[in-house]
Amino acid sequence: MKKSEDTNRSNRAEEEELEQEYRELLAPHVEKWDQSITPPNPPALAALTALVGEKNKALRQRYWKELALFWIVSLMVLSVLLLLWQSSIILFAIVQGIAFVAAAVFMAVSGAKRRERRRREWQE
Amino acid sequence: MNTVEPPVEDEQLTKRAVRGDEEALASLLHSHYPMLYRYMLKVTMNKALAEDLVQDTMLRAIERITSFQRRSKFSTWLISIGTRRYLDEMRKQNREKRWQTEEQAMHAIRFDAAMQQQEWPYALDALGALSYEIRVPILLKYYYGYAYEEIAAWLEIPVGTVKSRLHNGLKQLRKELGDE
Repeated sequence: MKKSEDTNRSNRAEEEELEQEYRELLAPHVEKWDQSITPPNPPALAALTALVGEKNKALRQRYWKELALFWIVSLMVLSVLLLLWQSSIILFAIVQGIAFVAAAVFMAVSGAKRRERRRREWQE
Repeated sequence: MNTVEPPVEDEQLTKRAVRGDEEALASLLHSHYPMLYRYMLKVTMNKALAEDLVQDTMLRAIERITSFQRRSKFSTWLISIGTRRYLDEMRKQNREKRWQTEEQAMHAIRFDAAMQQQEWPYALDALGALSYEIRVPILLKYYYGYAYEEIAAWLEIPVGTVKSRLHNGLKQLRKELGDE
């Protein structure tokens, strides 16, 4: 308990020291620079409103297109599987098995990559 | 700490914008434009890149406004989008090409300061010479006053890495400015 309190205190002291260092080295210069920055004029409010409207319209259109595409592809896949099931139950089972194995391999590989990336970040 | 305190009406505008009110969102973007430009210029130290990133951030904000959960201020949300966009941009750019552009960009900023008859301190050159991976957390932590956890989330790195970057960055600055 005491050890963790000591560690917290020492961490806080170190953070304060760093902040103090920033104040000495940079703070006044960055502050002064920030005050001297003249941002370019923002787009007119009417133009921004029109942009938001156009962008939203495009997003809605994209959403409906993607939804339609999803349904078309789903119906095609389901039709093919249904035909396969009707013609050969063994072939249907093989296709289902391959799809399951492929999904499992994909998830395992992407999981391993994610773990590796996190490990590298922690080591950094 | 320099986090911009939003006017009270921003709360109402944000609420309306999240519900799909286009005029409210346009008004928020309009009023936050200067703050976002100032932030992007300080982290990028490149006027052209800062302007591009401001526009890009605004477009992304329009796309994602319905998913904004209002746990933070609108300005903080914009800064988080802008920071992520900047990091993506830097990761994409070729290192050598980037160094040349950074040099040219710094010249442009120094020129602006000279035009305003202002001294360009060596401390800001040293800040510009730091890697963007160090400069961004330094400004977010000490100039804008964000928490380690927020910075870590935006930069997609552990909190410990944020702390070590701050420590190493300030040590590097101290060394650089001490040798001046």
